[in-house]
Amino acid sequence: MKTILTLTCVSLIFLTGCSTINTVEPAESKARLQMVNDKRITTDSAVADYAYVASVNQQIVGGLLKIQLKVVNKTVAYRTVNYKFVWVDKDGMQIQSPTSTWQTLALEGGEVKYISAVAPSPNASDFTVKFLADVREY
Amino acid sequence: MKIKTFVNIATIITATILCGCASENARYIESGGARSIISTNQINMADWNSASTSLVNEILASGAIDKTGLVLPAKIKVSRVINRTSNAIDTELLTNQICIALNNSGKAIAVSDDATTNELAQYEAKRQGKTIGLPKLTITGKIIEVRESNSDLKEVTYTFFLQVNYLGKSIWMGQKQIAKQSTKSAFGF
Repeated sequence: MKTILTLTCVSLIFLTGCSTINTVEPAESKARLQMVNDKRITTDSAVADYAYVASVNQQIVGGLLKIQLKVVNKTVAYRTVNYKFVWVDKDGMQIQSPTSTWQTLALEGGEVKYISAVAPSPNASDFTVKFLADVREY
Repeated sequence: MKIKTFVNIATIITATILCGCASENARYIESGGARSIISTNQINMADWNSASTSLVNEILASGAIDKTGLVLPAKIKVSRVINRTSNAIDTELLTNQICIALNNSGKAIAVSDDATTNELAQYEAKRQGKTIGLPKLTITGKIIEVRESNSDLKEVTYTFFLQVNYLGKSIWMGQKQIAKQSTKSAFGF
């Protein structure tokens, strides 16, 4: 009985078969990134349990600040994470924009994805990126 | 005794039905946000937001409007955005967000469609001995829906395709695909 139970459990592990992303990339990257030192504020582990931001870098495009984040799914399961860019000007006033909306990022197991946003105004000098776990009621 | 049992059962059933009919109080949520409804039968607000945000970011990051050499902000007009979905949709849900974002960025300024606004502008220009230039840029696009299903799942993919045009050429083209899946009900729909 015990043997049957053990065999069943082992089989289930193989049968559920979580697929993760495998990657191939150059051993030495030629990209020269302009990294941003960031400050992380985590209020709960809902997102941190399965995803994290590996890096933040910036670029100026046409006089507008562009921010890119590298987001990693550290689990083997498919997960989604919601994110939103919020922009402020040099006086710390929030810049309202119709594009400052919640977006949903789908990540396969172990997948690394880049998310980016361009500032809505040339006055934008700072940003905050908010992350939220999947809170939708299905 | 039988009547009493029948009355008790009827009371329980009635109470259960009434409790089921009671609706939850409404609550405010962020429009198209992380708690908004998503469904496979139509383009949801979250989809409009996602598409417009993605396309605006691509337009601005490409620098295509700067590369035209036009004096910024360049005048831009939304032309045809064709609906190829199974729902009657107002494509301004996409184009308005894009125009607002381009206005705010200082790259482009949207030309009004309103007849009164244009008439007043023409009058003012005539009064000052000037002419109003036509828009230099146009936005055109298409929204396409593709539906698929198997025994368990139904899936819909919306492709938002957009072009920014200048002097008859597409100076920028971009698209955003949004795919959603849902399980079929027990009756297979």
